[in-house]
Amino acid sequence: MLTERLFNTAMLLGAHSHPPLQFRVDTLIFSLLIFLGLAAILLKFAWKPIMEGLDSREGRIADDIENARLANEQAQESLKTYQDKLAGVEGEASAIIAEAKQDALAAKEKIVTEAKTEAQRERDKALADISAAKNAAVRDLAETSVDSAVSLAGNIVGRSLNKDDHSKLIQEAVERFKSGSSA
Amino acid sequence: MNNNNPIVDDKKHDEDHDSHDGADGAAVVAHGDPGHVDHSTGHSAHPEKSGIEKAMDWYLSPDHLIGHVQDAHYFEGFGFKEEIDEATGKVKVDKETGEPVVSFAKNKIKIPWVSPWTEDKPLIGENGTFFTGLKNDNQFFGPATFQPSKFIVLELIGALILCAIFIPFARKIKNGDRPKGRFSNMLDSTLLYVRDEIAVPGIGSHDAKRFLPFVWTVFFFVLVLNLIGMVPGLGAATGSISVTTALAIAVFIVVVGTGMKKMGVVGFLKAQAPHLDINPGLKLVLLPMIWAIEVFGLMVKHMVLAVRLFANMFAGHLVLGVFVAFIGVTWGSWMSWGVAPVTILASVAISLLELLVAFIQAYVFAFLTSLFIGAAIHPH
Repeated sequence: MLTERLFNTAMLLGAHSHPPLQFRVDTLIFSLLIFLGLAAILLKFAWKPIMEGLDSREGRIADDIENARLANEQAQESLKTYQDKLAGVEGEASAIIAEAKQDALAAKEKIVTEAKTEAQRERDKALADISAAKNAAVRDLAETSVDSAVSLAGNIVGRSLNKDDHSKLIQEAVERFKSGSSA
Repeated sequence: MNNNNPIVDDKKHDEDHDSHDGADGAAVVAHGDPGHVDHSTGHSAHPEKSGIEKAMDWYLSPDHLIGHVQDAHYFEGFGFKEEIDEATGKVKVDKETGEPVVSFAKNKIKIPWVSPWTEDKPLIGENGTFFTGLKNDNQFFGPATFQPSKFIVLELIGALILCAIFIPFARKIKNGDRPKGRFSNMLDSTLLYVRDEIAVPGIGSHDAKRFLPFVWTVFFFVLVLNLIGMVPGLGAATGSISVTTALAIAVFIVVVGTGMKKMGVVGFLKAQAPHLDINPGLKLVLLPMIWAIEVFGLMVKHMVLAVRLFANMFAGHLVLGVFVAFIGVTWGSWMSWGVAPVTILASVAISLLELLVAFIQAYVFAFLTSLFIGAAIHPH
């Protein structure tokens, strides 16, 4: 029943030539005037300022984006420059370090060589001193021994050796001592 | 206006009261109360009808339903009203003071206006004739009295709302400042959406800026009228074919004016016919016919623009009216306990749908406007 009634109502509505479907010239003219008046008012006081504002904002945003792009490019360039510089500095530093190492090695070798030479010289000098001292000591010992021996022998045989015999005996004793010590 | 509803007789004094506005007859019926059904008159036509059937006849009658969504010369509301003696049908009079008895009740709030023309004696369309004096039996064209109706007032309110919203907003962002606050951001994004998603795709990025103010006005005016229609007790002005036709005429003027300005009057008219690469003799015969069809099509396109908006808004509100009417049909019976909650929920759902439709129709109207302007600028 309800469905049938609704259907009938829908059919009636579809065929109805009622005021909502009726053109009213006065409503149409009033509506047109209101719309055109609204469009004129909004154009002057709203749309134009809004468009100016949007353009200004978009221009500013575009400028900001462009500036940001330029700043980015500059930053990239600066970064590249600094990176290149850094790479150069690193190379330079490596070269300095290598040179320093090389210098240090040379200095080291020089020092070591000099030290060795000095040490050898000191050693040779020391050996020479020792040898000289030894020889002196041997000579003294020989002289003393010969003097003692001569003196003893003189006492025994009753005669004194002259100076030349004395020196000759010492010399021979030293020679024998030397040959004996070296053997 | 034909009206078989028995309640009309009971409310004759109301109808007489509004006799200057024939178009509002149905609305007068709509404000009656089924509780006052005169069974003697009602039963003479349908003696076998039950109470609920009579209520259905009343609430679901096209006159009643349409009365709630059509234009009128008053607003529905509450106010002081002269009481009518049901026995005599005359205004009750206080015996002591001799003045009419007045009470606060559901009433029509009339729109004040002084006009020399009335429904009986309109400026145009007297006695069902229109312009040429030809008989207009179907009342396709209503009489023109130039008295402001409810929809005209609502259009003015809508226009004021738009001015109140956008003029201060324009001052805020004029210097290119960013919008502050949720509402301003909403307006800003809506404006940009209409520009970037409606005007530019339809008209083309090169010319869109010139027509953007018009497209903005169309979009927001249709939207605000649709949204005003969602307020109970008011009405959707876009649910009137006269209002939507006015908007379509404005679009038509802009479209044709733009085309003629760009190509010249003759050039624009010539551009309406497509290029035909056929035999010259055949072309001579076909071209005028095709041109006539294209020009007719141009006008039909704009008329369809009006009809689409009107039909969507009118039908949506009518559906809402039908749902709410179910409560009236079952009121007083046990069925109302089941019907009323379901009806209220359904009405809320339909209202939400109508809210969506309000935005969609504004979008469609503005988008088609952009397309028509774009087609006028770039005919091929």
